[in-house]
Amino acid sequence: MSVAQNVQPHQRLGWLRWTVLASLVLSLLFGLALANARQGAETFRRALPGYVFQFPQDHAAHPEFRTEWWYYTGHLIAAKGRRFGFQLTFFRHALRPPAPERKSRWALNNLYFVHFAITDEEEGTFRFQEKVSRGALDTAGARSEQYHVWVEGWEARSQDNSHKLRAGKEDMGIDLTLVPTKTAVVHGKDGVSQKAVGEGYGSHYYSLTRMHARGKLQWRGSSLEVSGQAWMDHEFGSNQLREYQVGWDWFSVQLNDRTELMLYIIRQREGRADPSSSGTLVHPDGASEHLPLEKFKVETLSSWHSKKSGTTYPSGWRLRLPSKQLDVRLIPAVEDQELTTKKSTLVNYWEGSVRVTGNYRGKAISGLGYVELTGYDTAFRPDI
Amino acid sequence: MLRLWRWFSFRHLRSYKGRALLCLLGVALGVAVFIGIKTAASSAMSSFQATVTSLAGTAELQVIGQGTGFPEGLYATVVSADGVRAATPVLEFNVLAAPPLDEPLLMLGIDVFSDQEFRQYQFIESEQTSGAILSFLTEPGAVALTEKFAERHGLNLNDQLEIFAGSKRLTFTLRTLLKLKGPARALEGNVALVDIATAQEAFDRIGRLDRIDLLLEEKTSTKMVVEDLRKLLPADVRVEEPNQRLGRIQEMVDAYRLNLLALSLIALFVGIFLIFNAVAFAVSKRRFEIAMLRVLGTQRWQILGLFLGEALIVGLLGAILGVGLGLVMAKLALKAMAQTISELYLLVRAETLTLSPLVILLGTGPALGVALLGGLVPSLEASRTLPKEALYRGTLERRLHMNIGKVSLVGGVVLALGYLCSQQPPVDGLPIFGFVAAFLILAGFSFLAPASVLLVNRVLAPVLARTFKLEGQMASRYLGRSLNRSAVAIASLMTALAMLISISILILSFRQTVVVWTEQIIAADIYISPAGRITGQRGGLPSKLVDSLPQLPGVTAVERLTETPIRIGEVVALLDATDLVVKEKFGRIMYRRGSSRDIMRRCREQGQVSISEVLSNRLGLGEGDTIEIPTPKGVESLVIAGVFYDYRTEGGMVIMDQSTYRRYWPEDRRYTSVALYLDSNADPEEVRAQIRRNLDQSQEVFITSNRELRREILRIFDQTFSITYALQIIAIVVAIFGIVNTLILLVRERERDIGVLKAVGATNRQVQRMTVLEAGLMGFISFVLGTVNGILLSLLLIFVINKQSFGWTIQFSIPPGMLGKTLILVLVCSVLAGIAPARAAVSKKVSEVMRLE
Repeated sequence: MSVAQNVQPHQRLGWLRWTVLASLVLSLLFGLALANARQGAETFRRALPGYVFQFPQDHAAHPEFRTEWWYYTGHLIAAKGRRFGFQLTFFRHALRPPAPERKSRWALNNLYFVHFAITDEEEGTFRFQEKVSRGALDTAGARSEQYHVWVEGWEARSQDNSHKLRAGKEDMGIDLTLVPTKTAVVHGKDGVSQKAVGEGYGSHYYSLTRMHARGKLQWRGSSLEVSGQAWMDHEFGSNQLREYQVGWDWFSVQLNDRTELMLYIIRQREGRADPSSSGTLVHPDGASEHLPLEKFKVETLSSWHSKKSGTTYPSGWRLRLPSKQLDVRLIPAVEDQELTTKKSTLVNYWEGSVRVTGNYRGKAISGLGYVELTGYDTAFRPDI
Repeated sequence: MLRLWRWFSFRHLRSYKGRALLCLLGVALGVAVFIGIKTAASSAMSSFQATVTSLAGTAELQVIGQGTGFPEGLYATVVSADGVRAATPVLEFNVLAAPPLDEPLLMLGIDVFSDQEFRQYQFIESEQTSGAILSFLTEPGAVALTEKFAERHGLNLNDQLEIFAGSKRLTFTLRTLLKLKGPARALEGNVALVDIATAQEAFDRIGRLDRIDLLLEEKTSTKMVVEDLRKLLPADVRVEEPNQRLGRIQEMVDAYRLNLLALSLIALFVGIFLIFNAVAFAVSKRRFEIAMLRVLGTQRWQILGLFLGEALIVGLLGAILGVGLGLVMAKLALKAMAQTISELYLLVRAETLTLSPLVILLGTGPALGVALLGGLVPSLEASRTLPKEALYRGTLERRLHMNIGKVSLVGGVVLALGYLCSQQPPVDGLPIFGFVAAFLILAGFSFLAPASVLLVNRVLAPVLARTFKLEGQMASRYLGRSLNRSAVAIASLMTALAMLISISILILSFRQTVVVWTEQIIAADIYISPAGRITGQRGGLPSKLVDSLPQLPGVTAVERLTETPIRIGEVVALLDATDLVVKEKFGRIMYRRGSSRDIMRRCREQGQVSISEVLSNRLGLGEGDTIEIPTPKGVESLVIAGVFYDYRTEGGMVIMDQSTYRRYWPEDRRYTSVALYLDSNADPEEVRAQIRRNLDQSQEVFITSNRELRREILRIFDQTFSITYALQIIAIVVAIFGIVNTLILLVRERERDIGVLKAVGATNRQVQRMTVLEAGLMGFISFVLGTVNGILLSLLLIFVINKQSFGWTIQFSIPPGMLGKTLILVLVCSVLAGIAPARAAVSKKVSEVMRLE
């Protein structure tokens, strides 16, 4: 059974990862997301083929694009093998083009959001926090000359060859240093990760698929030394979505043999997988392959119903790349890893740590992963 | 018993509808005033509370600036302070929606994102508004209004909203609508929202904030955070819990309410006399029936119950009517209170009355008490009546005569107690003892009424006898003999008159004082102020305009004023910085002592300040003391050079020289008003026209002449006291009811005497003249007593109650014209009140009234 068939009619409403962000902006206030997506896109730069990434410069902000985020997910191990999952995401969304300048330092140009979640895999608990800011007086911002994005004291920035992350407080916080162990992988084709049919409906998207993590985790009052592995996504664009697209399933898998896999399936309103859905396979040596929709199969194994939001999410997957002899199962480390964002987005989505087992090229293999499910929340928005 | 009641009482009430109604009205008035004031006060308070709490939202602490607020950089300081979990900045403006809307609006500049945790603003979603919300957030000049306000004024999305803010005329575009929920409920929906950036830009407040609301970390001590923040913030920025603001207003409303409640209790006091009259009337009317009932074996307690029951019925009906009337009064009073609160503290609009069952109970309870109290004496009298006495009147009369000495002694003691109370200090800033003294004085005089009647009567008897011959003599003698009835009527009219006279003296003295003060103080020829001048409006005049003034032809001198509300301890005061060089030469400040020139020079040269008398009383500071004034540069201890009289605000004032102000408030460049002194031969109209010509289209200022300003001050004064005027009218109405009732009663009781008189040859005309004369005599005696009592009360009001609750110096003056007019009014009313009973007196046949003899 493919994912497309699995999408139920009552789940038709939803969002891509992109829309999580876009909707953040307005839904958070008025439930009128994307009202701005229709207007004024021409004043922002669009994601077009031919974009050449330059690192480390491209880690920094791209204010000429409307929307941008930095997404960190990872798996941490404390003393005695205690396992944690973490997610820290910084969003920037421009509400108006930078010009003309306004006198007030409170003038609203960009909105900044952070979502921060910790999964305690031993206890089976999950907590998240969020922040939103217009970035007045530099309380939040994203620099374009050098990588540094911050919202009221929570931040991600580059230092030498590593990424520094800091978020939260005593009861739930991280202070991590992430060192990339592989070069950046650019997704899509010709520098563009297409999200829908049509010019400009896409983003510039790259990942650091394997980073070594080390640092401190504050959890329920105690400070833990942790280390582990992380994944970073950085994506920017201006106008990616079509109205018939309602949601998104995103998978990142880090196999123990240093192979990584990223897949995303964009769900259309009628439940079909959008032909633009695609993925990338990253080999241990860093070489990568683009995977169009016909190259992979995603099957849902089970479902989980959230009492908090009343939303039913798929839970547990079988991913197959028949041509690569890859067949793995992804099982959530904790069932409830749902973010019901009340402050920044009013959007409910599931983003969680998963454990991976299966076969690759005829050999048993295991690994870790993260899955994101958006647009399953029926309560959200009736129509665009 | 019930059957008895139906036969005995109900029949009576029915056949004397008019009288029952009068009595009912009397009680109703007392209840109405009580409920009216109480309801108005609690409505004003709850509307204020709703405004304050809904505006504060969930904020646990507020960082509040004064005047032009504080630098926005403090936001970062506050956000990162220990124990602070969340913070949101606010700019607040009281503006006036330009005519034809012409309504005050509270305009809030907010950051919707950080504001979410504090307040629930609900924007109305619709097809139309989808793109507009983004415009609201990002477009300069976009505004959100409440549905209610927009609907009332027929405003649609994308319409323009013009407002006056200070001397500016600003135009906003309505981009989205707000549901009347949460903070939008403040001011009954007269709330406008703008993005904080828009607020800074439109109101020229770039880089400034008025307020930061805070939420604290769990398990954090509020006190600690307050202390930490105080260390981090400049001295003129306050850190307080939102309900502290509420507490201050509560105090003000309490004072207001107490003053008016005292008046309503006086009305109820008069009500006691009215009920007494009515029941006494009923008893006398049915003396014969009582005798019959007693003969037939009815018990005393049953008779007592019958009459008390009647009194209670009247009291109850009166109370019900009073509740209705009270609501009408409350509506009027509420307006006045909302205005006072708006002028001093925070823009409020109070339209809805909050009626609490408790208040109704509290209002009707005393009414029943009054009914019982008033009915008790005559009812007892009725129940004690022996059947044979029922046919005869004399017994009780003698009893009262014998006790006059005792009653007067009680009166004397009560007055002495009243004096003692008047000498007590205020309780919690409220003149509680002052009001107790007022009651004791009223009660004391009531006890003294019988003796006074005899005394005045004795003095007047020869005069009356000479002027009105036999009728005069008879009238005076009758009055003396029917003391138990007439003394009560006279006491009630006296009480009403005392209230009327004392309040008139207070208001007129106050007004006279203010007139003299305005003549002294308003010395400049032309005053210029921003047009949108509402409470707490902090806009200044266009600086170009101010700079151009000295060069205008005909202008001798320019005095620039910068006014800022400040907090000294718990007292809200106005700080006026002015050009004292100019004031010294051309203007005046009325100091209570010391040479005004000398004081002003010290203020100018040594950076000292002058404070108003009200502030001096409130803070307990006088000449030579130092006053601690919070400034952006820290708390400054400044020497008080002089104390001046001022009648503008209840909170008090501080005057300093512009140079001193600029030293401590270097960032404030505003001038909030300007006074121009002209050459003696300059034409003010010409200068005014010239100023108008120099203004931009977008600027709106008031240019007021000397005369207009004085008139305006008195207009505000009169408006403030309009409620009291209404109460005075009520007092007179109550008093007239009293006279009519008493006279009818007296005539009834005297039917037999009149019969005898007529039997021995008195003409109808003589009897009528005699009755009318007696009425006039009662009126006159009441007037004399009322005047003495009123003057005493006014002294109490001016020198104790006013002094303790406001601290103003009022030059006491008795306006003879007012007393004369009152005398004429009383005489005319009482004579008119005597006409109907006089007619009744002669309407019965001699044989009929003499039948029982």
